[in-house]
Amino acid sequence: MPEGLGGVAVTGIGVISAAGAGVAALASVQRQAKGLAVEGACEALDTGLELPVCHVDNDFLEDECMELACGRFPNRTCALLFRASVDALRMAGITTFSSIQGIRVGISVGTTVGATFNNESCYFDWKDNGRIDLEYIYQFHESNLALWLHSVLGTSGPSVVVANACSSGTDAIGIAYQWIRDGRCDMAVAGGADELSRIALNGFNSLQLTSSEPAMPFDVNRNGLNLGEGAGVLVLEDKDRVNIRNVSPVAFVLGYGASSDAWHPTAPEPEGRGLQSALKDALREAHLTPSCISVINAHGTGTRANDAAEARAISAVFKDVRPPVYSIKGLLGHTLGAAGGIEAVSLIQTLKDRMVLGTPGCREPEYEDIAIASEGWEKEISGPIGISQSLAFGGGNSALVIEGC
Amino acid sequence: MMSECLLIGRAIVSGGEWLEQVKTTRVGLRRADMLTAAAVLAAERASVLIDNDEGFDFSGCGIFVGLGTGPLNQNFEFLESVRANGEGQGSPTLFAHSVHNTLGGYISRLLGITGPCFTMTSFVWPFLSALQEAFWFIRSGRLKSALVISAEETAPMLECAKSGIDRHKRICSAIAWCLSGVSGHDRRIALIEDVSVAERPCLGEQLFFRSGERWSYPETAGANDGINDYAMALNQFISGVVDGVCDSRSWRLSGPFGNAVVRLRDLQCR
Repeated sequence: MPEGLGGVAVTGIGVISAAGAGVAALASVQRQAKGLAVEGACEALDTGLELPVCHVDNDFLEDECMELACGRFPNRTCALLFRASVDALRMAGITTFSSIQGIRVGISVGTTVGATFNNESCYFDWKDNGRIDLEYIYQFHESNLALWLHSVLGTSGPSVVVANACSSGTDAIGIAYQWIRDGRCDMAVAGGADELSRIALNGFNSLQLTSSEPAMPFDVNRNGLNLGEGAGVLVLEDKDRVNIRNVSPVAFVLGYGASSDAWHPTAPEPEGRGLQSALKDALREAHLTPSCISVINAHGTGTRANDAAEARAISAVFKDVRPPVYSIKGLLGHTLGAAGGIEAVSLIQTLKDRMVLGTPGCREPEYEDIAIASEGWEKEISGPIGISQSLAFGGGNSALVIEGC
Repeated sequence: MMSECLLIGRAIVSGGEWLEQVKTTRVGLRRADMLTAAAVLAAERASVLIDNDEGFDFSGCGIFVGLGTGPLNQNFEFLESVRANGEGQGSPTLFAHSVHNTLGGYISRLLGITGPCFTMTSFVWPFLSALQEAFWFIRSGRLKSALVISAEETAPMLECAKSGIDRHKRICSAIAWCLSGVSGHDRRIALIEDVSVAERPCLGEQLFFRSGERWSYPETAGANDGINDYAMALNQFISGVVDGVCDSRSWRLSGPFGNAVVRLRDLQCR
């Protein structure tokens, strides 16, 4: 097996998104697509807002692997998480849940919508008529993603649900990476999951962050984001355990950094100083310099403020190294708490293929100081190590340094 | 080599109407909701007595927030603003405060903390879940200091579901602990020897009514009286344990939803 640089092994990855289920589907659609994987699907949310969203085809949530959960899905986010987790575990050689029920399995999941009570009919029935269906209340209490996944896998070990808004998925992987390093569990299932929500769509719309057109990350004409849904999951293991199990890692997480802007409730610090700090911390933990990085999966939402702050941060940290920078939000939409998980999977696939694909929607890159991989790009990358980074409401920033195998 | 994890500051804030009044005069909190205001005030009070020269370094500090229902009321208010005004006309201020990590963002901004900020949700023991992660960040040397906060606000819909009575008065409670990894800190209240939380899947009904929840430490034992306040009930317990005790204490919590143990050593009388 590859030695890696001393990080935590990734032995499985799983993803479900508007591009479909599975890593191969994501790569295939990313290679072919020039815009949103699914467009103009507001009917899915029963909303009058004419905004494009990227939703997951229900067929992917009804196949044979979903039967393993015995129909126990308190909400759609749980179903998305389960689908990606089963794929990741299978890639890691875990074909029956019973095979991991005797070890310490940590579950760390990032989400936003998945931690919120969004049952509108229940709320308004109480508000208008004083009636409460307790089943909805119980269901809400059973929807903690990490505990729910423990219950269907039959596993035990540390559990956490990270609700750090848009950086939740990246932070959840960062926490699980530290669990493995600290010896708190033998294996961890980590990533992010989120479903589309009419409330979240109205919320982003109220902040004037949505675009009525497909998003154009880093493009000079970008004017907002599109929402999406999905899940992205990594199986993390200590390297010694990987040797004992005789499985081949697909990647190694080498470092993780996180920071706060301490700036504004919803807008990023314009110079991206917080992100710079997170990037430097992640590189320091990995014992690497910026010149070791061959590709960056950016947060790249397509909003004016995010992309500007992110570009300035990348420029400040990487200066003349100029690794290619790409975003997949023009393809899958912004999947909120799932984004960090899905994008970590995308980065691992990019590192595996040694090929970076362009940013759907970015036809005329705005920033010259960084090497934005624009739409249609398909270039070999120079090395095996990349970064996946996220920014969030509340001023959160986080970055993962990952080595592909 | 593991670092020591010291408890060096703590505060509890609870109340209702007075928090609304504080919000109107306190710089930076005018637009905040009550839950956020309570959390910010608890974080400030826990850290204000600590002289930075003694080692509590805000620049190297992380924030760990544990929430149960979190900003549930703000989420409902945003929903109502959409219903009242129509789609596309929801209040941006309400939406911004309906996101779980809003109060962590406020604390970071108003206290000038630029380290990592984690918001974690759990219906079991959210404060202890956040404390456990902060404990490990300190012990492993990743952070020199940490603020651990938990805040909860009664939600009229959940209150009604539990008791059948409409109580529109909302009450907030927040707890904050300051942790330091600097050995020999002058302001140490106690050495935190261990924080171990093992959550277990259970029925939503058991979590909602807290049925079967028990806690104990040497002198007393108690049970949750069924109030839907994951942080609030625990706040009283934690406060009682730390105050006026001068040696070591081990608290144990249990229920159908898990077990937890917190061990403190070398408690200083204050």
